[in-house]
Amino acid sequence: MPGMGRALQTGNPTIVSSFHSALLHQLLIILLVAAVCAIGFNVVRTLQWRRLKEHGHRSFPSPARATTPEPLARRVARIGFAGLWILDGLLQIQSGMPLGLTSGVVQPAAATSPSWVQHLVNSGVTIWSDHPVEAAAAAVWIQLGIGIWLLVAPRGRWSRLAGLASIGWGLVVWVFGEAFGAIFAPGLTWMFGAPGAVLFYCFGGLLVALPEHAFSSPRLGRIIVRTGGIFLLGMAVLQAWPGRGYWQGRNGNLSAMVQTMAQTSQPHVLSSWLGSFGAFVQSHGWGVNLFVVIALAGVGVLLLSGRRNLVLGGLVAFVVLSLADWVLVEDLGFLGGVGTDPNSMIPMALVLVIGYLAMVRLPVPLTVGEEATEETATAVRGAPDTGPGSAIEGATEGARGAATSGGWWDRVTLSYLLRSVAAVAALAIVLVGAAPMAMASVSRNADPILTEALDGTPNAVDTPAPPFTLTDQYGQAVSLSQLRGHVVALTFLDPVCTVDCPLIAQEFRQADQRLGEQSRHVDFVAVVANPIYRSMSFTNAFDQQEGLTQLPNWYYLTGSLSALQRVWDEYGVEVSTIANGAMVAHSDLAFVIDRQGHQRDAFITDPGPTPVFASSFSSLLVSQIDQLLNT
Amino acid sequence: MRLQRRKRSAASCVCAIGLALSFLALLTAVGTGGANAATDLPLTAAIETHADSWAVLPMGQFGSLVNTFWQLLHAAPGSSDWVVVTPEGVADNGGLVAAAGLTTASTMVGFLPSQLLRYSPLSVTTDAGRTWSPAFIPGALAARPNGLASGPGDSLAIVGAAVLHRPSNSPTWSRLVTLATLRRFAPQCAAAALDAVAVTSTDAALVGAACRGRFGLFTASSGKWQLNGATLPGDWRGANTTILRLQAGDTEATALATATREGHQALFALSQAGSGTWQVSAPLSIAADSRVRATAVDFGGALSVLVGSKESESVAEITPSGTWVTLPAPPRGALGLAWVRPDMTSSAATSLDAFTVVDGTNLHVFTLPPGGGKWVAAQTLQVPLPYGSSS
Repeated sequence: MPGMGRALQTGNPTIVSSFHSALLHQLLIILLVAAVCAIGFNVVRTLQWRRLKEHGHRSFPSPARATTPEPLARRVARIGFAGLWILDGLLQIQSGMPLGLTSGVVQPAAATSPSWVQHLVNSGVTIWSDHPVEAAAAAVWIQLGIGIWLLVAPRGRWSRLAGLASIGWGLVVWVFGEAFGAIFAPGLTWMFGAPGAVLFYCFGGLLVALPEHAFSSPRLGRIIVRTGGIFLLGMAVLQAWPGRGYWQGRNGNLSAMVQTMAQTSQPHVLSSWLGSFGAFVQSHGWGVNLFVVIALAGVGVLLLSGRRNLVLGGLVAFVVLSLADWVLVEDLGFLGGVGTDPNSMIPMALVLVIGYLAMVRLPVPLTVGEEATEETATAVRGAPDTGPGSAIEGATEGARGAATSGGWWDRVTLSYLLRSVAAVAALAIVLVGAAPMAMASVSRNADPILTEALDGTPNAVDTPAPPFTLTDQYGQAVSLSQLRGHVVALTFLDPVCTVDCPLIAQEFRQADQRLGEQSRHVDFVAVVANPIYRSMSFTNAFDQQEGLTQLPNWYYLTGSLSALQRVWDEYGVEVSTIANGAMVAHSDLAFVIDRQGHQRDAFITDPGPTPVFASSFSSLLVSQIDQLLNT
Repeated sequence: MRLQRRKRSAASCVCAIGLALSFLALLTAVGTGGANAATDLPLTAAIETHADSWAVLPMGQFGSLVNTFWQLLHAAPGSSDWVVVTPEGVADNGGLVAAAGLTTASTMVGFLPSQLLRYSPLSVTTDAGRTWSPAFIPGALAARPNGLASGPGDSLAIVGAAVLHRPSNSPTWSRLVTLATLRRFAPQCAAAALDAVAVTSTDAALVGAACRGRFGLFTASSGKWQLNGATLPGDWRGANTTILRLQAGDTEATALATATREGHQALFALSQAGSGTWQVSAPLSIAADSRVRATAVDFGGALSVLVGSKESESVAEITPSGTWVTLPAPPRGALGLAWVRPDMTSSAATSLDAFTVVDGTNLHVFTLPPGGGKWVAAQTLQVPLPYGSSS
């Protein structure tokens, strides 16, 4: 029956199964790529060994000496954000992601933002909603790929590229997934995660992408720490700003947030903590906000002081405060089935820790002749191709100096080769996710899986289509037998329907357009499905309304009530009037009839709650018609 | 040197903090936008003919437009009972507009566009709503209580910026006049929208339009349209006006107009005997937090309005002398009014009925007997609604 507004639940088995299947297929491709990389590694190593032997060497080039190890701050940034990306990628595997992410995470995040933000976010939501399986799978592999890439490429160009990839994907997620971290929303507050967790991932990526010499002085660390201080002072001002709903306990924003988070599906111990904290906020909201304002301002001032001990004190206080907020307000961030990341507190604290380390733990150059430790040697092995000014330039030169002839086989160490191949494999993981998504996103038509998830797969049949003769929109008699030789897409539409029929008509129109030249062999036929409003005036008005008057292969058929009733009965279409203001209820059905007049597919055409499903249905209809045209 | 550097550092720090605070203030300002209050004309309306009374009112979930189903009620003269006679076959969650011929038994109802339906199917009854026949009009009816009108023979309808006309002997509608034409004939009015139509007992057309400085009431004479609406009284001179109701009776026409100026709003009742000029009543001021919720017109020229705010409702009636009298406060939550005549021939005073809707589907009718007194519960109707059928 039309207009029942059925929506897909996040756990829809068709979508979940398709998502898992896509992940499995992509995993197999990744394993294949990994195998190819392993073979490539062995081939290059064998070639290298042969060349080395030709030049009289008995071993692979040994690790060179490093002048400096990888700066500790950079390493913490690289490994820390790699871990976060990997965690996020794993969270994206949750089965609710394909259908739940947009409605459960993205749209609520944008709901209170200005309309231009919502408009921008909706463009991303549309792509995700049109292709939920490809999009969700892409998010998994891109995030896992970036995380692995950051881990396996410690230094050099590959490493900096990983940082840039982190920035790029982070910005995509920050804009389209987090609606700019809600910074344009009226309730902006540090406590709820402003300015968005992924913005810190971008910041982490930026630190990895910077040239290593940026870490050679405390300047970078000071900038990070001071920026953090200014940010926290600003957040304290916002938190203290009257009229924003944070000073009152009962019915205030904070208690509402805590109560909302307490309702998330989670272990009892967490929900009970949240419940207790929520009750505390309700009764002491003013005091809690005062504490937060003072704490944020205090930490901000300490970070701005620039004095090492004061900064350290501020940092410790901030970490404690962040952890408290993470548990008691953000509820760890990733619970509930569509949590995509651990929210902003962990990455924010990580950035400030990195800033502190960049300020106080500068890389110490190794003395000339000193053997590289395993750690520094690893770093050197990873980056023999760095340019002038690199922290390990000397090491590369050292390696070059050790070589007897200038060939690549003399310079490339085994571990460098291994890390390069691993970085290529990590990039391949990113591309395995991104490529299908990129291809899907350029298509304006939604994936047919949505229609199948909503209405079931088309029911394949092979029976003679019941004949009929009715009157088309021009007053001409049209019989099904007349259309023999063409594939016929048949449906039943109410010309005064307010919801489904216009959408189904658009599905047919889209299918006609998408068939292109092939549509010359296809007729799109609708039979009136309203026992009262069935005259040609109404079919013509409907055609005009839906822009169908220009389609030469479109027939909107009507007839006497008895003639229509016979067709409805023979095709199993139920039509009934409902009193007191409802539209006529009728089955949403469509049939594809082959050139010989045999019914081949029966579809449910409920267009679903959004236009996405109409687009998805046209994809399905085209594929079924296409099969019949080509058999 | 060190001192200078410190000063520079402190200055840059202050600048950075200033910038950050400015940014935050900007963000705060961005996030505190206000929404404009929506204004609309009440579709909830009632008409009385020689034969019976009709009322259009919404029921269902008022917070959800798709689940607000409009109902057409009918009361035969002499009967104290209202019957739901909503025509079937089209979802009416866009609203209904009813037009009853004053002396004929034909009543026409138009379904306003809703959701993806962008034109207005019509339905016609000649047996007080027991059976209905579909009728067609090309386009979408205006959402105005008198956007559709029936006369002894002809019918009129406002579709977009045009008034369509259908003679009694034809199923097709043709254009009678457009808003642009009215503007040309009466530039002093600066007609902004077509508001209402009526057909007189001699099948002459009356058209009401939103106007400035005058009441926009137009009639055609020798193929030319003329503005014969009165000017506004002193305090309201220059106000913008709309024609909320326009009803032609046996010998006189009645109109209800709004005038708006500088945030103040008032209602005026207008009456026209024969083809003479329109007589304007005293203004009935509407409080800023109130709006006209429903209107009812009697074929004899009686007119009542239900004005409501969040807190209260009041009913006012125009007297023959052109002044407004406030009637006893209607039942809490009243959303509709209708005049009911005791019998077809009686010229006795009519009673006024008020409607309330409880839980969306329970319709309660209260009667205010002629001569005032207090509202008395008269009838309860349970109207099952097809929630979700059009969402």
